[in-house]
Amino acid sequence: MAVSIEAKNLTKEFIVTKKEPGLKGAFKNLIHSEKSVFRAVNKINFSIEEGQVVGYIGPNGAGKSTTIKMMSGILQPTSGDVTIRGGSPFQDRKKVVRNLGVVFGQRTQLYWDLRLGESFELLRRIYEIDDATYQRNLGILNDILNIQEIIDTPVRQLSLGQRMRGDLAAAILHSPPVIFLDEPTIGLDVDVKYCVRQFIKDINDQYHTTIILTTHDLGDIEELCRRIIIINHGEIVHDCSLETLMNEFAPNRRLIVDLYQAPQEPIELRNARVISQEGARICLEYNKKETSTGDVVEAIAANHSIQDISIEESNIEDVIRTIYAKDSESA
Amino acid sequence: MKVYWYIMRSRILMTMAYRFQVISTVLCQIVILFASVFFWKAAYGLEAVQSDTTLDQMIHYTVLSNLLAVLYTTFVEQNINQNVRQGNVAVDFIKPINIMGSYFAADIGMMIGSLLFRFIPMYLISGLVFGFTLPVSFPALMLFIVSTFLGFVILWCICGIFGLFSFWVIQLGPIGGAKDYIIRFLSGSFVPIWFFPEGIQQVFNFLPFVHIYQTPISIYIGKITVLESLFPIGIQLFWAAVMVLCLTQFQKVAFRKVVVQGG
Ligand SMILES: Nc1ncnc2c1ncn2[C@@H]1O[C@H](COP(=O)(O)OP(=O)(O)OP(=O)(O)O)[C@@H](O)[C@H]1O
Ligand SMILES: [Mg+2]
Repeated sequence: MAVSIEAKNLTKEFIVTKKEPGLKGAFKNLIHSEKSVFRAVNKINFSIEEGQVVGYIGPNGAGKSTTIKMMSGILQPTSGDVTIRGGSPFQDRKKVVRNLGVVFGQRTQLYWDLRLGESFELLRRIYEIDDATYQRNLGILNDILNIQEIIDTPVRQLSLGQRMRGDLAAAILHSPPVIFLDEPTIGLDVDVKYCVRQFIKDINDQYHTTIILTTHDLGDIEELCRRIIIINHGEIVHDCSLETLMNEFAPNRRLIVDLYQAPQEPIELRNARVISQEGARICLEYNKKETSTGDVVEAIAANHSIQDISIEESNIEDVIRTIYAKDSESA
Repeated sequence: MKVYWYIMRSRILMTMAYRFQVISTVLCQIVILFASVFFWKAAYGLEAVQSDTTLDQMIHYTVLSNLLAVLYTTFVEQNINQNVRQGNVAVDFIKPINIMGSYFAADIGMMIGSLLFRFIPMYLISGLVFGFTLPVSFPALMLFIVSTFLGFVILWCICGIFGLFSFWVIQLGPIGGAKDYIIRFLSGSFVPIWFFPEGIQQVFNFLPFVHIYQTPISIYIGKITVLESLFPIGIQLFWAAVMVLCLTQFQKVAFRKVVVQGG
């Protein structure tokens, strides 16, 4: 598999000037202002193969957008470097961004005063897309994102969801092999969100596109990303598959069993821990790797008659929350 | 290349769409044009002016100067400043185009729009009132066009460099406006520099500013002959090249300074 994106010790520092409040502070700032260096991204390393969909997540202010901006040639790294298909987005900006589609959920890259269609026409010239490809891509986009419905509307009149559809279409009109999506589902209703997820899946399937996705909606991650990279305070704290992460941080599964009759004595099992026992309802926990649900059920059924069972999978939100909290403590 | 043509063309179309608004600004500029012509009439009438330039030449000079000012409207500075302030530079950077090149194409488009909807009506109106300002000869007209374009390039680069300061100072405030007046003064747009003392003239002749307004106008009205004009056009070429170089170098420095405002 060819490597598509590679970051080596990628670092970004911002110089922040401390602004003192009030008139006196304003004068003070004129003469001398206190500057401090803030490291938003700190020596991160990763390598992403062609065709991967990677979830890039972390709490607010973790440095996700800053990373995306460095990868798309907007911000120059303070040190370290990043290459996209072998090229540096800062040194060969024009060459690298030609292979790139970028969507910033919080800001549009469409031309505010133009009709959506005119924005597309301009993009077609910017990327020198030939007629056949353009028509074909427009057709595909129309199928997934229903672009025809909004193509004649000026961008400033589009609703957030419509605009996002337009932005997504604009980002892949030139069939880029690499796409960065910075919060593409922010503020979208369930329908549009579904449509966006479908869109990401489709282009990844059809074109083998490499995709990096930042989001705060873990549903996006669950549905789309085989691999997740977690960043906190500018540093990568985890880089693995969602499954590995879940196994590590939430190795247990819960089983709730309702019996026909409340047992006389507390239940004890060899392969599962009893969390609670209230009347005829028993709540059990066991390691899902070591113990199969069937074994646990069987062990109970040996002495009791079971009326109903339900399984509770550990929740991805809880896991992520644990990880964020853990990293904040250690920082 | 196509994209720059497309940007230029869409700007021309835009001025057409807004031609009503454009034409209404013509009225305002006509008033300024008339005022400056009457100023010179009064000055010559009082014999306050000692010059080998005839009143007729001076009127044509003033009319042309005002007409050129219409063509010389640039939006680079404003565009860069606005994009930096709103964080939209990000959008420019992720496109495989030359960013300054696209701004230049847009301004050339606006210039052509201005030629059609402002320059020509103003030319006709002032012509009917003060007599038509015609070029002294056909070669002079050709050289005037070349010289005007070079003047535009010089001015555009100066404005572009000013715009790039936005990467350091988010708000340019009144500096931009002050700069416009200083340029117009130094370029002999209000008062031709041949009214200035000899020493100052010598200095000004080698600065880029006179080559924005005074050189093309002088060629057009025959203040300098076609042959004489080759030297100032040479200096114009030199300054245009220097300015383009300065702008591209400065742009590299500025682009390294990018911080995008907002998430
Ligand atoms: N231009 C800037 N000047 C100074 N500090 C900045 C600048 N841009 C970002 N930062 C800081 O860098 C850190 C990382 O910001 P970034 O936008 O990358 O976060 P994020 O992970 O995208 O967060 P969110 O989930 O809220 O979008 C933040 O603490 C932010 O305050
Ligand atoms: Mg962000």
